[in-house]
Amino acid sequence: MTNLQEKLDFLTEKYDVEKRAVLKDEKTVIIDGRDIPLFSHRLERRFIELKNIVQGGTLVGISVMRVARIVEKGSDIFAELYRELDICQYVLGRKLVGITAMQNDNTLNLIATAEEGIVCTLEISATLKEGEPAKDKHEIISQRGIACDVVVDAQLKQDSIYLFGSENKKFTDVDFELYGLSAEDIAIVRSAFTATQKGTEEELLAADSKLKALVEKARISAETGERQVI
Amino acid sequence: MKPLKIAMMSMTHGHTRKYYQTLKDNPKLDWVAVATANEEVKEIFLNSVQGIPCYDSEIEMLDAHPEIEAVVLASENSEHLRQMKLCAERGIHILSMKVPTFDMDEYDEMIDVIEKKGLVCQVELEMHYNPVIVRMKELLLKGEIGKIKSFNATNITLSPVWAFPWQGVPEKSYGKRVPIKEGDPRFRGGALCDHPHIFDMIRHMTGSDFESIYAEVAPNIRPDIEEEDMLSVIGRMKDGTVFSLDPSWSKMEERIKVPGPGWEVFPKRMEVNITINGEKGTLMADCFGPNVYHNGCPNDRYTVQYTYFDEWIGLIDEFVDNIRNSKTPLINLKWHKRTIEAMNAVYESIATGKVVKL
Repeated sequence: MTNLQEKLDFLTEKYDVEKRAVLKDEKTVIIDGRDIPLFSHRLERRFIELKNIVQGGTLVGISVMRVARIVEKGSDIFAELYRELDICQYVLGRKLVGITAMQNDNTLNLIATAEEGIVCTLEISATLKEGEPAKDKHEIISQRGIACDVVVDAQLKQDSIYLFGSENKKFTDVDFELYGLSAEDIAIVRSAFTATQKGTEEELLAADSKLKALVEKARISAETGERQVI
Repeated sequence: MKPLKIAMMSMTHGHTRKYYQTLKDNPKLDWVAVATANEEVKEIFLNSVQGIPCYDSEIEMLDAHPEIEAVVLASENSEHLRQMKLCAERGIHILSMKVPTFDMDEYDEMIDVIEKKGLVCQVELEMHYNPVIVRMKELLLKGEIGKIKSFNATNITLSPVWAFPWQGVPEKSYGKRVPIKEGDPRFRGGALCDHPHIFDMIRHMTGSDFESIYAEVAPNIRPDIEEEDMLSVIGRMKDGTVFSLDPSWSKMEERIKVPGPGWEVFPKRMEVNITINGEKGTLMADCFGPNVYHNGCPNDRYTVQYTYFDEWIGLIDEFVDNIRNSKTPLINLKWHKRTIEAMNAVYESIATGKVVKL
């Protein structure tokens, strides 16, 4: 977290931000003494581009959004659900209006319906060994095209650099200004920086509250086996 | 072993052409004849295969070739019961397409007809003869990921309705015209009816059966067809495994009449991917590949060119073995019945908006 804070301080100083922002953890930044939730995924470039593709008219007639995310054992699958539900709404630009969930221990499958009848499927599990990077895929299917963050005919994402030497390594660098951080850490720093901008705190707090309500609906559905209307 | 004298009927099913090579090459088979359902499929057949007698009538073919021991029913779903009865009357063994029927009374009648005559009726679910599936099953049996927690799979393709028009006709695909849900202009009989494999595979992999199913139909990506083309399914098996299945026609196609190069609009025409999460880890599989890629003729589009396995070789080998050695097929009518019941439950869930218990 120290490294991330240093990068955040670098940005706030470089761009003359007066507010003092302190990263509390990967999901929270403290601004003016208040805990502000971070939606770091919204700052991942892939989701910004998917959002632009969906909402900018590149795709026409959206039908389905499919999400799969596998994380390491011990992770909170409902915290992952919080993230993925937000990504669905963020990318689609539509609210979710219904949720049906099926849970088996650390695995969770959902069908959520969005405005205009769009159907979202979310497949979440916490089954990877400790330290294994998360595997995920986000795909939007429309009458005129498909957008996805995984290349066609592949199961996993590519990295930018592969080094085959005495020790095999791979690298994915996506931000010159914040060079050296992982894509996920860059998104955390960028989202904390964004939270310092005027007017965003209340918006983030409201979004957090609505998402928590959605996740609660999913919990109820998983327990009762019934579809929940939002 | 004496080669099995085999014939094909109708030739209207999308899998028809998959049999050409196997029926010609397999030394255990003697391909005797075909009966085509109409002039269009007759022409396609005659342009594809030479030297096999082709009849306009099933009866004419069967009368002319009393030596026929088995028939591949390469027909639309609505024809299966009639053709099964026709074959059973003559003591002919049957290889059925992947959906015998969605009508459960008809389904029981099929079982009855086959059992009374002591015939082999094998259902064509070719994924069982796919080497990736064999490896996955082996890894599961070895306990590599421990007890299964969730099973998530896609069986997604382009829509075959332009090349195989019966699949776009609810009466021929689903067996009757049933609205998909109240207030929706679409009918049952679309993508779901084309994709039983993952409903079968989850039973094969878990050894369990369906406990509950919930499904939603999404807006069609082909608004001009009258059946569903996009749907999502979740549920739970009796052993607790939760699942998510996508049996959609989510890959867009050119509307050509004979499948071939240039069919794809989306670069990849078909995918069966399975992710199984277990108590000790995760298993991810792409059942078809690795592939090669090109952007050549006819449309200059980047395209995934499959390096297909031939599941039909293993399927036919088993079929011959079942007949010659009086064995029950791995995928027999009784086994497959529960898969069809689950698919019917998908439609029921879409219609009612509720979780359906099986």
